[in-house]
Amino acid sequence: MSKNIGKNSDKSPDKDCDKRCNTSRHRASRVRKTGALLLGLLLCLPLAVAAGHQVFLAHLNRADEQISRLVTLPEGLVKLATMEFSGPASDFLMFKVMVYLGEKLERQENPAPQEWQLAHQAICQVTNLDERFWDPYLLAMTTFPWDAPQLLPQTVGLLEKAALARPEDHQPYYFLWFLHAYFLDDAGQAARYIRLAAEKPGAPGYYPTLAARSALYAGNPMAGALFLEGLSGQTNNPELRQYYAKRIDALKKIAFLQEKVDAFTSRFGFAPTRLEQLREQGFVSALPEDPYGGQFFIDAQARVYTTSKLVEAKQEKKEANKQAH
Amino acid sequence: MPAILCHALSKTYGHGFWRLQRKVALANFSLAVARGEVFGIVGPNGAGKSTALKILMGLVRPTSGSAQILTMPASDPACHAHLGYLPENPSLYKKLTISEHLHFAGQLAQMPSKVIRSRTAELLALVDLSLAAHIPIQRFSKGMTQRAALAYALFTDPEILILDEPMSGLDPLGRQLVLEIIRHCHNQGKTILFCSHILTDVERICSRIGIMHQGKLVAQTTPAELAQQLPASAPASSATPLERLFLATVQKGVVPAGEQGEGHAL
Amino acid sequence: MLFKLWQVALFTYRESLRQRIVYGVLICAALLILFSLMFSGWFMRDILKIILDLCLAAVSLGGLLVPFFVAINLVAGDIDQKTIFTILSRPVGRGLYIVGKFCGLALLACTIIGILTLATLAALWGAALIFDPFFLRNLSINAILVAIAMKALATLVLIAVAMLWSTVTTSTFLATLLTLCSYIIGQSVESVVRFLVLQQNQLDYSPLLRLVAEASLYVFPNLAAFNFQHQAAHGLAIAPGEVLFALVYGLSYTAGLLILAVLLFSRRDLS
Repeated sequence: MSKNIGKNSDKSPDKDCDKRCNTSRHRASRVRKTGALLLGLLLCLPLAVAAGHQVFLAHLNRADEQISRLVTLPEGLVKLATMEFSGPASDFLMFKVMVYLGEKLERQENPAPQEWQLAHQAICQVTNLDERFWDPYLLAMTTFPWDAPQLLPQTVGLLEKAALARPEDHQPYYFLWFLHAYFLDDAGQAARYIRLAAEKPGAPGYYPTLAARSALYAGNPMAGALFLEGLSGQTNNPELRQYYAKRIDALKKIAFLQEKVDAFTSRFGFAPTRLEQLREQGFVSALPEDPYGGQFFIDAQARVYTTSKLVEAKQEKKEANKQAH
Repeated sequence: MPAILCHALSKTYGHGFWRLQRKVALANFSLAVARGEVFGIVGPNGAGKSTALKILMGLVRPTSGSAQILTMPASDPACHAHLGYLPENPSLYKKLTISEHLHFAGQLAQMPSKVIRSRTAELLALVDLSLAAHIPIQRFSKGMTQRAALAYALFTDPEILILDEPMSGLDPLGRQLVLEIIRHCHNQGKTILFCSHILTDVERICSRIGIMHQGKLVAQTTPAELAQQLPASAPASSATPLERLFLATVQKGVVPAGEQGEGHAL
Repeated sequence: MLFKLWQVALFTYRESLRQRIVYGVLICAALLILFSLMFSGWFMRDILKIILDLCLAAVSLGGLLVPFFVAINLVAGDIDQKTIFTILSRPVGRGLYIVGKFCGLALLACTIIGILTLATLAALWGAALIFDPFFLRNLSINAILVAIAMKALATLVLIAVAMLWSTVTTSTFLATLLTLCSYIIGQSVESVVRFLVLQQNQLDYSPLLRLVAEASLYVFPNLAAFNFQHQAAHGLAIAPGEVLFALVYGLSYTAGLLILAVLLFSRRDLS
């Protein structure tokens, strides 16, 4: 809408300005400037992406070192710091613990003792933030006693905490019974715990009978398998479900072989020294394989066990085992 | 009974970090505006014009003195039912529209919905904002905001209008509009008190003019008197009588004591 | 008087609904609620707790939006940018202004929390479709609704706090900072006092510290009183007495703050 307001210029000033501002020289310089900026952008972006990717990879490899900084902080401080969000904080921390352990399981490697210690510390922090949260206790019960026996006393401590925090739940005392009967071989304590469990609302009717049979559970592989089976059926996490399935499978195989060994002993009056004797004598058609890659054997007390000790061996060890037999 | 009455109003602000430094905004300010008058206050920047108007609106509490609207104290919000206020650089709620503002004003005055609607249309036509009725205030230009605020002040048809720099930021068309509106309101018998530093506008529409300087009302006059007063000591380059009076008063300083609000320029 | 209060409240409510941040936060909260359904699938047994933890956190965050972003903008911003003259030039006194604004903001908070409550219920319905009923056996809708109602009350307390700071200080930044400090103190004060009380035999600290801590419990809003998240997430019973006391505490504390705000604001010069 530019009208010629001034009447006294014969070359209208607008056109003059237009001419001066739009010479090819000016156009070219504008194009050069835009080009230079675009070039700069083309250089910066890939650099940022590549460097960022390297940083991410480095962090990925470092992920093994710590689950979260929250784990090592004092419990009171963490609870204070999360304020009204301690519930979601406990959920996210638990998620990190499961990812941490899940990663190890996926790579088929057994975590080192200090890594189990870290997992335990993290689970303590999770239950500090929400002591009624059942999943951490469940995870502790199904991993620590089996793969990290050095943490048995701590597991007992955790379950006692669960029993206090969930007074209407029979499961903590049931777990404590199993820990003392199967792992700690303490029938007296075990019986005490299962009686406490039986008092809780909704406790299965067979709990009182377990009290008397606690002594039979020490190291009994079938008992272990059934215990785990009862728990894993309701697990919603696929990786852990696989982890339990493997253990249950191994325990059941051991129980199966043990049954055959006992049958051999009762028929011949002496125990076999090698498992092949079971096959030779027709008690089994084929020897089952240890899902953990070890070899089943009979020890001096005629008990069946496996070289893998029911833990994941490193890849090379598995190969060595396979070649040895 | 005067519509607006200020008696010996003083206001001292404390400022600085510990509020220890003192700034005197008003010193013994007295004013009486009769009903139906259009009173214009002029004065240099910082003379205390806005402060006086804010005290009248109950937005600021005077350090001493009193202010009355009709017979009610100025600090009583009930007197706002008879007042329309246009602040300096008005701010309306940015995200709402002028219709919503007017609706709010009408609801507060308990006007029936039909009346609110018709009055909204009428006022928006008056200030030439009919097309902008449903546009959020944040998209208004300064002139449009000023006119919208004027419509808001006029909505409940108040008896008294207090306008702080009503012409600021308006182009000549807008100024013409506001002057017309003030004249129209004057014809309706409303009392109008406004302050401005555009002397020509003040000269045109006021029935009485007051000059403020350093927190005091140092001179009062009427357009008729102005026509007669031509002080000898005034600079010859000034155009209008009011300007001459203004400069003479302001440059000379404060009027001698004893003439509260009734001083004449020499 | 009440009619005018309602008009000011409605005016404030309308203005607040035009703030874009309200919709941003609603969308984020809704996404969080959706995420809770996905995230909970990762866990073993306590799936309901995970869903409720995240959904109730979303409700909390949606509520927190109002005192921190809206209340301060609408009150301190009102004074800063002089829009307050729009209301005060009408026959509306300082007291009516404060209480009316509070009611408008309370209405906004209830609207946001109401929407997020419906989203939470929708998430629970989705969970019932996805997961086996066994995982939802601890569901207690009563506990959830009580917890949400108490969160709303906590939000109202915070709105009153934000308004008090806005009327007392001169800038929106300062008002935000003070409200944030009040929030953090409010959330922590009960834990700190409890720690001091429990540790009094073992640690040696000055009685002055204990006195200051206990006084803070009553001076600052004890927001932990309104926190029933744990009970809602685990489906525990909530004692009616506890709720009643929290309700009375919240309402009386809010009223006290508003009265204080009105007293302080009445003396303030707006120029």
